[in-house]
Amino acid sequence: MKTFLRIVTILLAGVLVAGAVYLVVQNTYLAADPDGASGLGAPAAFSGDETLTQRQPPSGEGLDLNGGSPGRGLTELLSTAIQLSAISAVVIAAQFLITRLRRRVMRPTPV
Amino acid sequence: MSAKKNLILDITILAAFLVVSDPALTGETIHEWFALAFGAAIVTHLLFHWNWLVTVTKQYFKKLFHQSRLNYVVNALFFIAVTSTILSGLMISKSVLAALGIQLGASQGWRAVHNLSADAALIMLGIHFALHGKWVLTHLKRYIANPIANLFQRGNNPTLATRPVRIDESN
Repeated sequence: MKTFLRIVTILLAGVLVAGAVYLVVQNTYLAADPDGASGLGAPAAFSGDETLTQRQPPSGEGLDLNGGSPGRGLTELLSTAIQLSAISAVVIAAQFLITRLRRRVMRPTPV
Repeated sequence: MSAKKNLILDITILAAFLVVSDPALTGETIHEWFALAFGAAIVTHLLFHWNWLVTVTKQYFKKLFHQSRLNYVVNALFFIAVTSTILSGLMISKSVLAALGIQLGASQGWRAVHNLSADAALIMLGIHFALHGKWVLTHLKRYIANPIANLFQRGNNPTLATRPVRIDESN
C-alpha cells in the first residue's frame, strides 16, 4: 500500500511536469508560429498538390529507422557513452578544483 | 535496499539510457516501447531512494549540505527532462499510440522538443553520475573489480587453497 501510494505520487509529479511542458510548448510554439510554417506550430495542412513522398524527410535525415541498424546504432551508442563520460569528467574536474581552492582558502596562514 | 542491488539497478538504468537514446540501434518501434519501460525504471529508482527524496525535500530550505542541495536540483531537472522526452516522444509516436488506437495529429515541432529534452537529459545524467562518482567507483570496486581480482589471485596462488590431509594416529 505504501509503495503503491509512492508510485502514484511519482506518477502524479510526472503528470504535473508533463502538463506544464505541454502548455509551455503549445503556447510558445503556437504563439510564435500559428501557421506552422516553420514546422513548430500546429501541423501544416496537407495540400492536394504534394505527394506523400514529398512530405517525408530525405534519406539520412529524420527517423527512418523502423528496422534499426546495428552498425550505425553501435557507433551512436559509443558516441553517447563518450559524451556522457566527457560531461561527468568535466563535473568531476570542477569538483576537484573547487575542493582544492576551498582547502587553500581554509588553510591557516603561517605566523 | 542493499548497495549491491542499488548498483545493479543503476548500471541497468545507465545501459537502458544508452540504448534508449539511440533509436538507430533498436529501430523506432522498440525505441518507443523501450522508452516507456525506461520511465518505469526511473520510477523504481525513485522508489529505492524515497527516504532520501523525502528527507531532502523536507529540509531543502533549512540548513543542508551544499552537495545534497545540488544533487536535488540536478535530480529534479533530470526528472523534468526525462518526463519532457517521454511526453514529446509520445506526441510524435508512431507505434505506441497507434497500438493503443490513439491518433494525436501533433505537430512535428514536438520532434525538436524531443531532441532538446533528450540532450538535456543526457547532460543531467552526466552531472548526476559525476556527483555520485565516488559512490559508484567504491561499489564497482567492491562488488565487481575486487571479486574478479580475487578470482585470478586464487588461481595463481595454490598455497591458499584448502587441501584434504590425512591424519595418522601413529603420529
